[in-house]
Amino acid sequence: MNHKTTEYVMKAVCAGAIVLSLAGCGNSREKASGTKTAGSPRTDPTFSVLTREIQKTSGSSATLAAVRKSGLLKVSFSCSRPPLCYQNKLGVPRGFEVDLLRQIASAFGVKLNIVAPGEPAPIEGPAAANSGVPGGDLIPYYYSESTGWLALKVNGDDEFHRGVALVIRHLYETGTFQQLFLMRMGVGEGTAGAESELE
Amino acid sequence: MKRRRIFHRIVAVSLIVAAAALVCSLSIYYFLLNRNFSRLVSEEINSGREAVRLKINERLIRARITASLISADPALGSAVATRDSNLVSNILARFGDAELDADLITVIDVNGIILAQIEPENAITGTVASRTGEPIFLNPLFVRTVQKGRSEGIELCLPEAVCMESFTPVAYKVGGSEKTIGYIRIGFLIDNGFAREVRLATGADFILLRRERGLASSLPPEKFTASVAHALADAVSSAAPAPDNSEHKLSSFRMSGAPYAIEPADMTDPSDTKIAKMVIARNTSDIAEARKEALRLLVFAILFSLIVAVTLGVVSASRISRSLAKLLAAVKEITEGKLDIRMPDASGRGDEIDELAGAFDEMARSLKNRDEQIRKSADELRDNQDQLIQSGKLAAIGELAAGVAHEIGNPLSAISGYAQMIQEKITSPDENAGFAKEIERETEFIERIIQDLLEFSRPSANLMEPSDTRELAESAIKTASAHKAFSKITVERKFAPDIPLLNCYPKEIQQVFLNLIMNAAQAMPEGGKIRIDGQLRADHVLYRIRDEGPGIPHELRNKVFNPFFTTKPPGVGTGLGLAITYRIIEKHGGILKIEDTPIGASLVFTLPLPEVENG
Repeated sequence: MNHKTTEYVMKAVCAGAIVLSLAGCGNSREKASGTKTAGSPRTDPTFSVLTREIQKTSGSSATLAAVRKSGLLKVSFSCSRPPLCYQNKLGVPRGFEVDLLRQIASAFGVKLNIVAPGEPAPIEGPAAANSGVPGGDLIPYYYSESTGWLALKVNGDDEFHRGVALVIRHLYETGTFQQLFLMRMGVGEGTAGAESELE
Repeated sequence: MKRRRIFHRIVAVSLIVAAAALVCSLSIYYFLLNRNFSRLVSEEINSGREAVRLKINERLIRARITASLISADPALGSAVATRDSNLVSNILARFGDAELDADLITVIDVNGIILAQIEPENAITGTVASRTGEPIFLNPLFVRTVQKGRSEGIELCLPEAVCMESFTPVAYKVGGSEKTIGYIRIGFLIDNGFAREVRLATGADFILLRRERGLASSLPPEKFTASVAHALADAVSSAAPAPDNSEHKLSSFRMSGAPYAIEPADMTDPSDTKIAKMVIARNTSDIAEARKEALRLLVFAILFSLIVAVTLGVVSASRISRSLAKLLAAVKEITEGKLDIRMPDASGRGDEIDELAGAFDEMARSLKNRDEQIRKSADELRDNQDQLIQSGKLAAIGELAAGVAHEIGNPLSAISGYAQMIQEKITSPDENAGFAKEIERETEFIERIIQDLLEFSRPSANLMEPSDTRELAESAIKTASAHKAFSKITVERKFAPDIPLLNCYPKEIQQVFLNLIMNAAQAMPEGGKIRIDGQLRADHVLYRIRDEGPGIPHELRNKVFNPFFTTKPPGVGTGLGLAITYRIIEKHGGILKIEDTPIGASLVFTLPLPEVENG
């Protein structure tokens, strides 16, 4: 009897482990909606594709090289547009824009470093482009009828600019952008996650 | 052996020529065939590409019509204006039930946020997907629509799905003026169904690849597996990127065992971002089969022609070589002197061999003629030579006769004196008897002289006989000594005692001695000594006749043996003496030459010893 019980327990544990591992292997995007791991670039199966494409697009960018050398992606912008960007109780910047920038930084393999507006940085944002669609050094990331286009202003070389645009586009095409957006804008299922992030 | 070499060479040359011609023409043929095959393939692929373009256009038009239909719904307008996603969903569900002509229907608010969306899998069930609240404002078609009012094109409509879409703004009357309150997106997926349509229309396969995954394919799913898609994506991306808008480049690829000609092209969205790779593929296994068939035929043709060429080459080469062999045999026979040989088969083919045989016959005939001529001339020459010798002899006799006239004159006058004395009868019978005896003696003397001359002038017998050359020399000396030129000449002979009998024409050898002695005597008009040596050498007998005259100048030595060459005054010599002598010696196989000597001239001749020892 005793022996048999142990066997059942063992079987149960194994089955559980298998189920768990299968779940882990599933589409992380589907699974992730509404959880804290939402948009974590490491779980994105196309992330290696992105890394390769960045290498192709911005491999010889001096700006990107400098960013990678310092290990920090500096972004200078004011954070006063909840829920796109706001400061939590501890004064730490939170919101969709911060999430997006963090994704960009992690795609480049560095950490995000938000600095005060006016400080020199490879990325400044948000820059409003009210008159139509932004172009030149502006990469759009948000649109509403009231504000028009919000865009990141990218300083530095063209390759770096293309790299940033590539990351945003990749996030959009893979749905990560939408998840972050839903989560931070407090719409649909993402609301709970956003709330928890707000502490 | 040489004959075989020619044979081999002809066969090899014919083989090489045939092979070269065959390989050249067949490779040209194969090249043209291949070009036609590739042209066929590329035409089909072109038509596939054109079909894709037309089908996309057709879908876009349908999407536009559907969008207009939906946007015209007044209920939708108010729902969008109030951003009531539930109401919009309900309205869309109603459209979905009506089996709208679309794969994807999206209603978007003015901020670019999705209010409701029917996705392809929902289109079947009629349910509405929950994408409410998702932003669509980064969508390039949306951006364009905001700018321009209406747009359509291809883009990534869902994660990992490519659609042909049409965006239409939804206008709504707010306070009397029309205002854009949202947008409707109608899309058609580029999926397996689309791919199969392309295939049905053109026969070319259509495959859509994105990031090494197949989004759509006209191939059966069991053939177009993930690994095949991966391999194809690798092949497509490793292929040299064709320069923009340049001629499309065909490459080949094997999918699940079948060969395909593929033509990749980038699919770009309105912002010119490459969103997927479209591959138009043509299964070339039938062409490969046809090519194999053609190759098989070509190989058969090559083998057949080579066999024919070899056979022809062998036949003609052996014919040539056989003719050459016959010719060679004939030439050999001619070499052996059989001039009557004729090439047997003037086959009448009229080819060069035939001509050669004819020419050969001609040559043999003319050789034969010439041979006969030569023989005739040689006979004539011999006759002439004999005549020359004879006439030379007669001339010498004439000369001798003139020379010996006084020799005869002396005994004749004696005889005449004795005869007169006998006629005058003043002498006693005893004395007369003595006179008669004297007359008889003198007559005998004359008779002997005449006998000698007659003996000398008689044509020589045509038979060689063993003769004692010393006797011949003595007899010549005796004959010559009757000549008046000999009055002051002494002859010194020194003959070796062991000189054997020699096989010769005795009269001719005697004439040789006579000529040489007479020459020597005539070279010394003031008198002198003639030395005659006879020696026995290893294989010949050598006679040397030397005089004490002025000798023969070097520059004349080449000429003195020529007929009618003489240094004597006219009437004295015939100029034939040494020429005849030379020929006689030559005829006997000996040598006549002039030796260098300090005084006078020295003429030496040799006569070969007989081959069989005799007496």
